Amino acid sequence: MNTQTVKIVAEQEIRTRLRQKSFLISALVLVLAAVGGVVAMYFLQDRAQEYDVAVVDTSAAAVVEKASTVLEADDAKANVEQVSSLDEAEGLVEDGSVDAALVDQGGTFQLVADSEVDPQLAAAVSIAVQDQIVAVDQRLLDPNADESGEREGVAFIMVLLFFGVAVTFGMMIAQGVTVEKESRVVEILAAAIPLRDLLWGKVIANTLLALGQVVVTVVAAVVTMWATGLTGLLDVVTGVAWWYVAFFVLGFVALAGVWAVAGSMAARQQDLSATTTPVMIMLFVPYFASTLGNDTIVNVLSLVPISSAMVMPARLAVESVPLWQTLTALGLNVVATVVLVRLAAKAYEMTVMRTERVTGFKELLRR
Amino acid sequence: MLQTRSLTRRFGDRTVVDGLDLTVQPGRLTGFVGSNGAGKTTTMRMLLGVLAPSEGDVLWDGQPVTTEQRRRFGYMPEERGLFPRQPILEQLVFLARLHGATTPDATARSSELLEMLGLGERKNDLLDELSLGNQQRVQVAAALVHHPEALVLDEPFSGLDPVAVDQMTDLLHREAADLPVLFSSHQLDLVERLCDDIIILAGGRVVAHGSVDDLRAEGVERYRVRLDGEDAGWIRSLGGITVTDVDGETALVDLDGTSGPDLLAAVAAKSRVAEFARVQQPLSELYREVATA
Repeated sequence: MNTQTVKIVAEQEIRTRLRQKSFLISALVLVLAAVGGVVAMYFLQDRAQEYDVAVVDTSAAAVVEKASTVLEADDAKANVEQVSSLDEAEGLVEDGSVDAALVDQGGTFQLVADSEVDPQLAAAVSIAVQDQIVAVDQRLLDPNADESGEREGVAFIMVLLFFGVAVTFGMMIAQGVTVEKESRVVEILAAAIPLRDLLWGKVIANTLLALGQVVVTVVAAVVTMWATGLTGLLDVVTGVAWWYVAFFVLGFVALAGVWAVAGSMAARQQDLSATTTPVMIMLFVPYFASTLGNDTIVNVLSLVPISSAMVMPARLAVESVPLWQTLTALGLNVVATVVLVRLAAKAYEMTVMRTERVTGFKELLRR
Repeated sequence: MLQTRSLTRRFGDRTVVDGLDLTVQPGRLTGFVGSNGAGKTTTMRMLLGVLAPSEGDVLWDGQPVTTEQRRRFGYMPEERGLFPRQPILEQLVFLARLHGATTPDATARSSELLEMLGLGERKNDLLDELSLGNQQRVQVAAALVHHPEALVLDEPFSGLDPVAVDQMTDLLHREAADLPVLFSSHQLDLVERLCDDIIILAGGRVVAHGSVDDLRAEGVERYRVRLDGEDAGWIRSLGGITVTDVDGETALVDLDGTSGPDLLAAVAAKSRVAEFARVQQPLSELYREVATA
């Protein structure tokens, strides 16, 4: 491999792409979709206008009633949920049937919530107790149980982003290769440089572009989260960002090679839908299985190369994954990438000069 | 010097190029002629290494050509081949850089070639915005952009008007004066006019190979005889000749044993001769098989 020619090919590829209106538009659409998604989450998030508060003692009930009048100023209210014991109150908090419990501890009140005390409720209760009591302190039953819904949301969006970018950029690679074939420019290129360098230049250029797209999209989403105050999401995203990038690059490089071969097998643009089917399947199966499948399926897919590039970062966002599993997935991806790129280079050399007809898969496998 | 030795290519059990021995001399424009399917394009693709030969070699200065040497050839493929949606200057610079030129050199050279071809004003236009003739000029520029050491051009003149053909031959004479240049065409008359050497291919084999002058000399000597107001039919009765055509007082006579001066003397002995002239037979007539296909 001649790094100089690979660099020239990659440069040209990037320059050409950045000039394409369709490329810029699809890039912009993806960024806007990410920003729009975050904004939608902001509006859809559970901002209860009505708080159910479990109480055992009448003193606590009085405080809640008073807090409700405070909340009225913000079009909200608090309902008293009378229970017979502290255990019962905590049980209701834990299973989410009430938002919090207020406990009179003889002099101080304690506001009990599951993972996070709603600031609006806490403020109202504080005001309510001020004339009778010195302070309200807070206690969390399960402080580590972060917003699992938000985590799953982030995971879903990460899978979706990987899938979307892999398909749009992959299709562009395939089309680019077919254009070179169709316009016969590949003959001139083949007379000038080794076809392997041509393939590598394309793979590198498109991986950089795809990564750029992912980074820009994620940054736009993070900035939107920060601006809308969705800080819970922010922590989740920053926690898995590096893994996501690592898996993305490996997965994309491996796929880029396969996409290029799919493009080189087609004789004309119309053939692409047929020749890109296998790589589409490689993406669709883990995509649907990971969004629809059960935990076992997801765990398996998070270790299988290529599919793990999509599924593992999503798993990392949702749950704590043993480090050995993450590293195994990463290692298997490295192996798969090396193998696939090699095979792709061979197949590409074989098919890209054949302009008269579509190359069949059987034919490709026979050699 | 670019040569082939027993160059053969088979597709399945069809032999398309059959044991070719060609020589393309430096500094000589060599025309490669043959009907469609004669094997010209297949041969040229093997010269460039774009297609592997089934048998035989391509030689450069007597030795089997290396990949490095091949990369310094200039090539214009039959079906053309540039990026339709890229500015023409940018593509040429890209190709020159792939051949190892620095960006400033590549830019200077590409601009110069486009200027020479009258496309200086349009260097930032996309290829498919140009007329077909202009696209072809860009294609020639692509073959020349890296200062090649040999040129292989597949049908460079097809579809060009006479002015464009002249312009392109001027460019070849200027840019490739010392190089071996092989270009294919199915227009034998055009090749005859432009080339120093000719290779004629039919059915994958060489039918004729040599300088234009030598090949012409191989044809029969033909004379046109016009008598002064007398029907020329009687000339048929002379020996040592074949009369190919008689039209009133004019006859076309191929020598077949006798010589030009003897023929003139024999005719003049019986009739008054108004005109007696050697006819240069076009190669296309000599190689009718090639010319009519």
